[in-house]
Amino acid sequence: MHNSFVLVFVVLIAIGFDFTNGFHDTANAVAPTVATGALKPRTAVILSSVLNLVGAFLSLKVAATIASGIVSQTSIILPVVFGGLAGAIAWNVTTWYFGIPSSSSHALIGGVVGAMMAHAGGSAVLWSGIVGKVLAPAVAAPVIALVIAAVATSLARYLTRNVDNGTKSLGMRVGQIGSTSLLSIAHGTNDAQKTMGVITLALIANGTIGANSSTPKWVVVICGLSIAAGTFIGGWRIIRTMGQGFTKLSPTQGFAAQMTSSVVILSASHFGMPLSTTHVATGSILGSGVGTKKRTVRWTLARDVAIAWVVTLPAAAICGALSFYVERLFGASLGVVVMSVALVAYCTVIFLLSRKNKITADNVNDRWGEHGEAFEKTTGAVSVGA
Amino acid sequence: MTAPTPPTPLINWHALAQVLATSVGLGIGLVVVFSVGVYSLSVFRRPDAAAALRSINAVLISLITLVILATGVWGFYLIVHK
Repeated sequence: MHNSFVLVFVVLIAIGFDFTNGFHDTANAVAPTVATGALKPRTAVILSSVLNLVGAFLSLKVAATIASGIVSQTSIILPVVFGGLAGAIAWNVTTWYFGIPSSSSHALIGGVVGAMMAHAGGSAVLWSGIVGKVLAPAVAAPVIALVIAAVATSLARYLTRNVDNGTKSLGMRVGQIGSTSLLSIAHGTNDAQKTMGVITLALIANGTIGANSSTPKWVVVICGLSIAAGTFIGGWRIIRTMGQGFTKLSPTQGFAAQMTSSVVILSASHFGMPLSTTHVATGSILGSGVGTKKRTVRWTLARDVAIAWVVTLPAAAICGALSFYVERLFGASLGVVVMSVALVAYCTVIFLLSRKNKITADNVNDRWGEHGEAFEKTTGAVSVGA
Repeated sequence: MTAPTPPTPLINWHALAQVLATSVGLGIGLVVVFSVGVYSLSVFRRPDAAAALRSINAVLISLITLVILATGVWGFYLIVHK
């Protein structure tokens, strides 16, 4: 009874994390499409939402169990999973408020690592896994994507230099819609499965299903719907940063960036290299700016985002550890209730604060700086060419 | 007595190299092929283009469309069968 009570909260918070994952990562697939006008903002988000849902049902191989290779799997208990998810949600919501494209997966890993350290100490964390599966890919992903997108953009601009604007715009926009679709399906498959893995693990840990059981259908449905709903809400603040903040995207740049993101993410997934979708998408957009004639990129904003990436793991870990300590202070059952109430209160405060400067489908493409962006005063914003 | 297993490397350099090679080849290759397609489309749409030139570009556009669609299907396959 005691465990089942905690289990219910773990499932609910996992669904909550899936939702934040959806709206936080919408930008990865749709930001260039929205910025270049290839699709209207609301249309782009609806397309991405539907394809995320489709992606969630495409593959049921829950290969990625929670933080596999990152923490000792034998030491995982429900309060650790809960703490990890709470930490990840808190960090996702915070970075969303500031419009920072940070990795939801890294937030989840950070949250679980923090909760695990609070539970069983540092020895339960596989530090080599942190280096190999988190830190190294975090450095490699944006660099690979940036270089490829820069070269691709330069070549695309050169090859289409004599093409009339109407045909160029039409062609590149069609290409963008195709790559947005592929990215959305890939995101639905990869990220919804992470949450399916978390819930399945919790069900196994609680003895609700057997150790070798496959993911229950209701878990698949609920995770698919949750990530699709999050995507549908549209993380407009992050879409704005990625679409307008780093550089002014032309259809050619947008296409090169999205094609690069699609190829890098799919090949990384195929070869088993855990690259963050967010890091790849950000690197691609920066690269598409570097590939223009004037090489116009707001590097100060890029630097600030990179700092946020570095902070993601420890910040989510601190949130996860705090959550675990609160659970221990109040006891598992009361603790998850207290933490859930605290988390809902925190999310509500952040939401209300965000209402003071609403970013929606209607103003997401306004000129950078018109909405007093957090990074505006510190950026070396430059004039941007096509 | 069995030989000791070699330690697992901290970073999977092999996978990283594969990702890099595939991404460079496919990423840049697809963008180039697509851009050539856009160029062909612009030539095809020119009202003053000669019939032969239009035909050549129509074939080129069809081939490039097939290549792009095939790559999209392959990407979809990778997602489903990863």
